[in-house]
Amino acid sequence: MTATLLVLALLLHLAAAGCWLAAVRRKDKALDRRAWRLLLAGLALVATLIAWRWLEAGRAPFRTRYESLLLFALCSGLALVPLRRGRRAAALPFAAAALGIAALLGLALLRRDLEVVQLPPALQSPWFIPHVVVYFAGYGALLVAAVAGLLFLAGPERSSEATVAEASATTERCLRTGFVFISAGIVLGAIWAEAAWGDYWAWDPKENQALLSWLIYAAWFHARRLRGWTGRHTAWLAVGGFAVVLFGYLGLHLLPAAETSAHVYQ
Amino acid sequence: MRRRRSHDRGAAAAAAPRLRELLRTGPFLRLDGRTSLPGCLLAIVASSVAVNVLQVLLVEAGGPLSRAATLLATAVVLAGLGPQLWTARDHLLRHLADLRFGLALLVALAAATALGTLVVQTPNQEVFYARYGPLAPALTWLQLHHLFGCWWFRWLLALLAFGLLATGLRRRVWRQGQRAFGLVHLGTVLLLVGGAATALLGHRGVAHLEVGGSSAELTIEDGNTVQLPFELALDGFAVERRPRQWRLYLVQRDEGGQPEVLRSWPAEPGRRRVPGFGPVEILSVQADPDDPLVELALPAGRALLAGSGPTRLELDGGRILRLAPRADDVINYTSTVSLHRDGRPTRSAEIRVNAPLRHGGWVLYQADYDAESEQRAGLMLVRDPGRPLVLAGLLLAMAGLGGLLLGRREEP
Repeated sequence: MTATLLVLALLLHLAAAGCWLAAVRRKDKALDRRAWRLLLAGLALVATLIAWRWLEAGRAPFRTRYESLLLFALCSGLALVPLRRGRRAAALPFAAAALGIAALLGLALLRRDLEVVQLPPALQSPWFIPHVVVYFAGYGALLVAAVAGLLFLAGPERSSEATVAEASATTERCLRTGFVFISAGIVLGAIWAEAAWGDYWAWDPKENQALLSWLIYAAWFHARRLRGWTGRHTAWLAVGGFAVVLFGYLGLHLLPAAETSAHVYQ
Repeated sequence: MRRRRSHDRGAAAAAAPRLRELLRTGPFLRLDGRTSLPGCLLAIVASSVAVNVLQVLLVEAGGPLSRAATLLATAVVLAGLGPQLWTARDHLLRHLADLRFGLALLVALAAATALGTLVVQTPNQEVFYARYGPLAPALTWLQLHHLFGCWWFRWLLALLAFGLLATGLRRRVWRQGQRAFGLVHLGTVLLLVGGAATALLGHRGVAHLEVGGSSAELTIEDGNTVQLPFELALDGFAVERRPRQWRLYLVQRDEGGQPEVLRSWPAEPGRRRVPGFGPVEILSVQADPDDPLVELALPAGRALLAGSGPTRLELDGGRILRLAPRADDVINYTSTVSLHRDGRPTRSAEIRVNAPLRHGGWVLYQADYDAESEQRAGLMLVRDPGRPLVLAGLLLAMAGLGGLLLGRREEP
């Protein structure tokens, strides 16, 4: 049943992306509205899957890779909602973001859990839900920034000026939002770590990766003021910064230091 | 092209006297010069190398004589530079507060963090040399085996604190319109100062106690022993568990490596589809939590699996059907402790994971336990004078960041 719902959610996101691509080509607002409805329906399914898992497990479903991928997809979709207001021209960033979310759902489909695992004692904390939700809200915004950045980099030759300008504005807005959320996630994680292990910061590989991505985005804010880094620079930063985030999320186990980490997913 | 060449010649001609002046007077007299991003990066890297050389000479290499000579040389250099630095303090402050310096420092910190994540951090030299072979001496000289505790990384953090303070002073962040920016910088400074207080003044160690045992001393991380302001007694220890659940696992046998679990089902009556094998029906289960008995109907006939054995059934294609309990049955670990002073109990409490005990400036955490006997617990005791500063710094920085990036009036 969960696999069916997951496939359906994936197809809805793909259909939304297709509608947005068609809307760009035909400049059709009806297609744009249809794409939104498809995306929201897909997100509602993902939310249903999360709620289902929550009831099934009797705990917040943010423990395993599969569960976190669902949350990542939902947060990325929700990051698109505030961007709709004030959007003027092109729908291309939304199409790209919907494809990104579909990729996350595809990965979740491949990584479905064999059984519902329980939380170990360290994760049974009131800080667990706010830390994870806030962090993934940041990841969601940064994913949207990265796909919009990719579009910007691919844009000038193939897209209209309005599309490129919108991709750039979307990237900046999502970088700001994502940065605030990952900062809050780091702060909540530090307070939790002190309560659980007596140390705000233990230089665990995952913590280092979080700090590294934070430093990269913080450096961008400074470079933006200093050198007027907008446009291509911002797009590169959004893509590169998200590559670091994604490596920390999906590739941390590849590091030689991963075996000492308390954060590697099962 | 011709115009560019003539421009290059002009730049070189202008740079030559500046270089001569720099060589004649030394770099610190050029503090009134313009801050540049490469210059900042160079200064940060050079000063970090100098700090690392000091650590190598003072802590890790040579005897008392060479250490004394290093200290003397450092004192002479600092005494020589001190008056110049004092004279140029306004320029120094301007450089530290410059956005270029901040950017260079963030880049340096990011590079250092990446290095410390890629290179395995271990205090064990043998493990480090075995892993990195001929590269190990160079990596060790650069302190990459314990990067986050070495002097040059702490120097980078100190530079960050100085830079943030200088920026706050120069931009007068207490003014209207600058407060969110000021909160981020003040919060980060408090965080760094709190972290320094923790590293320099804090104590941390694990007390391993048998149930019924007690201790008034603690061996801390550097191997020294500190006297506790109380005697800690472990009165009891318990592992709280969920009821044991048994499951059937379909496992792919793997030559040499880890067997891969393909599917799993609860050990309850019902029909299951085993991929590549066909239907398997669990006919009945005698649900003993320690030794369940599961009766299976396979295409080839009936079979029994039990908690006490046989626990596995060989299928075709190197696949195995295995009966095993779930591994995630622990809910929490609880140590019941009492604290004594002058032989009299002053406090009694339970310590769990995520629920530490705070007493007399110390915080007691449930750290580990002896899984075999379950009669011995490891309690981590932490004395952290930097905690209030770190906490205040985190909250201030977060409030400022929220105002800075989500507010409309201020720009980061």
